[in-house]
Amino acid sequence: MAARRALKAVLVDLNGTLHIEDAAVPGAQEALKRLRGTSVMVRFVTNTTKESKQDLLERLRKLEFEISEDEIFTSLTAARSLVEQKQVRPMLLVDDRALPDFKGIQTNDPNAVVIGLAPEHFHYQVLNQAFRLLLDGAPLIAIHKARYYKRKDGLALGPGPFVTALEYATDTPATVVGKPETTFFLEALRSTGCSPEEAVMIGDGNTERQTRRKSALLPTSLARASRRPWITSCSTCCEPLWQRNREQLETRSGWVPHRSAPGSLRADRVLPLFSCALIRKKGPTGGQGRRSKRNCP
Amino acid sequence: MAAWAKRLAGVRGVLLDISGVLYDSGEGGGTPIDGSVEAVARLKRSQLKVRFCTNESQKSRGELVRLLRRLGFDISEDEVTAPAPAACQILKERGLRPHLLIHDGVRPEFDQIDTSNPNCVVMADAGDDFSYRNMNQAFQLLMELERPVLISLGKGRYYKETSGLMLDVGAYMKALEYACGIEAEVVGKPSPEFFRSALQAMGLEAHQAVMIGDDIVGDVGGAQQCGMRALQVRTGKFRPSDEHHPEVQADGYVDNLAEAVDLLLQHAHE
Repeated sequence: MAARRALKAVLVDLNGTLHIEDAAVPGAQEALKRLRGTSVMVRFVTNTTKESKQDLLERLRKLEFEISEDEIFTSLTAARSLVEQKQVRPMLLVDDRALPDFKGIQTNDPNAVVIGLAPEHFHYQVLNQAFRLLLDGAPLIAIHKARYYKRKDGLALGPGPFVTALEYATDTPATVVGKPETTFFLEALRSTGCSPEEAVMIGDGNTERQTRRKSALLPTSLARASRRPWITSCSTCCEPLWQRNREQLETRSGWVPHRSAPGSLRADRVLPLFSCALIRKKGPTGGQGRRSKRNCP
Repeated sequence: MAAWAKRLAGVRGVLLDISGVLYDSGEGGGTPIDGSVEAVARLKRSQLKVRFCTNESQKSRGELVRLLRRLGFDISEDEVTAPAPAACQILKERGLRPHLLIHDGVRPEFDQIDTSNPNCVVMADAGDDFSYRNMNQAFQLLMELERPVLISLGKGRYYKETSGLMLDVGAYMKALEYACGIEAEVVGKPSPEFFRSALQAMGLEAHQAVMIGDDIVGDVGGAQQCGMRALQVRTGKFRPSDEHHPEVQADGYVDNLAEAVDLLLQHAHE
C-alpha cells in the first residue's frame, strides 16, 4: 500500500485527550507510558492562549504525566517563534499568565501585534492602539481565532472576533499560528526531524473537525499531506469520525484497532486504544504487544 | 483644472458627508476643516440642493447639529439623513425590541423604542463603550436568539479624530458576525436604501446628485452603486492609497470641500 510508511512521531493533544481541565483522562497516564515504551517520538501540542508552558507542565505533573518542557509545543510557542523569526517587537495582547512564554522578547516601541485571549485588554483604547500600529504596517499575529469559549457563566467571546475586527479595519489578514494551521503542526514536528507522513496526530473532536475543514481548503495542509489517520477522542461528537478513522486505520496503515473497540468511543478510550494498536503492530517486542493486548480497554 | 470636472455637468444636488468633510471630531467637540464653513455657505447660496448624509452614530442628530452650528456651519436638523432615525423606523416596522450596544450620546434617538425583553441587537459607534463586557453581552444575547438579528448603524472601518484614526463600528460589527456566524443588516452608508432616502428627501434622481465624502468605500463606492456621482476629499480619513483602491474609483479627487464646491459651481450648470 502506497501510504504505508514507518510511524516515527506522535503528536498528542492535551486538553480533552490527556486531561480534561484538572482531571486526567482515565487510563491516559498508563497509555502514555506504553507509548514511551516504543520507539516513536512524542510531542504534546495544544492551543492555549493563557497558560504558559510552565503552567501546563505543572498541571500535567500533578496529574502524574511524565512530560518534559521541551516536548510541549503550544500556540504561544508558535507565536514566539514567529516573533523571533520576523525580528519584531510585539505589543502583547495576551493574558498576563502567558507572559512567561515571551520572556526576553523586546516589547518597547512595538512594531507588531500578538493577540490571544485577553479580555482584560479588549477595550476600545487598547484595540485602537493595536489598530494604529497595524495601519503603520505592523504584522498581526493571532495565537488562534476561536470564536468563543465556555466559561462558568456561559459562552464568552474568544480572540477570533477581535482578530477579525482588526483584520477588517486594516484590510490585512492576520497570521494565525495555532491549530489547525499547517505551520503549527510542521513547527511542532520540526524538533522530531520527522515528515508529516511519518507522524500521527491524536486530538480532540474540535481540532479534528477544524483540521478536516481546513484541509479541504488547503491542499498543502498537514492533514492532506499526511496519509496517516487523524484519531479523535471527543466524547460527544466523534462517533462517525471514529468509524471513518477506524476504516482508515485498517485500510491505509495496516493498523488494526483492538477488536473489542466499542462503536462509540469515550474520551478515555482512544489514547489507550491507540497505544495498544500501535504496540501490537509497530511495537518493538512481541511480548509487550501481548501484554498490552491483555490490558487494552 | 482637472479634466474630470466636466463630469459634474448636470448636477442639481449635493450630498455631503459630515465627519472628515465638514469637521474632524475630537476633544472639545472637534475642529472645522479649513474652508468648509464657507464652502457650505456658498453651496447654500447657489441653486444646488444640499443635504447632509452621515453615518454619525455616536451623537444624536440634535447634538450633532448643535455642535456644527457652534463651529459656524449653516445646518439644521431636518437637512440631515442619519442612521439612527432610519434604524428606529425599521425596528417599528418589524416589531423588533433592540438590545442597544451604543454610545450614550445617541440614546435619545431611541427614546420611543421598546427595549424590554430584546429580540435583536442594534449596534452603533459606541466608542469607549465597546468594552469586552458590553460586546460579550450582545454576543450572548444573539446566541440565545433562535433567529439572531444584528442591525449595525454603518459599517465603517475607521474614522478620523483630531488625535488620529479611530476604529469604527464596522470592525466591531465584523467581530460579532464572526463570533455568531451571522451577517448584520447595515443601516446607513453604503446601504442603497439609505442613499435613496436622502435623495428622496431632496426630490432628486440619483443621476442628478453628487456625493462628497472622505470614505472611498462607504461614501464613494456606495453612492456610485446607487447611480450617483461621487467625489473623495483628501481630508478626514483619506489615505493616499485610496486613490488606487482596487475596487472603487471616485469620479474625482479634491483636496477639500472648498475645492469641490469651486468645481461644482463652475461646472454643474454646463
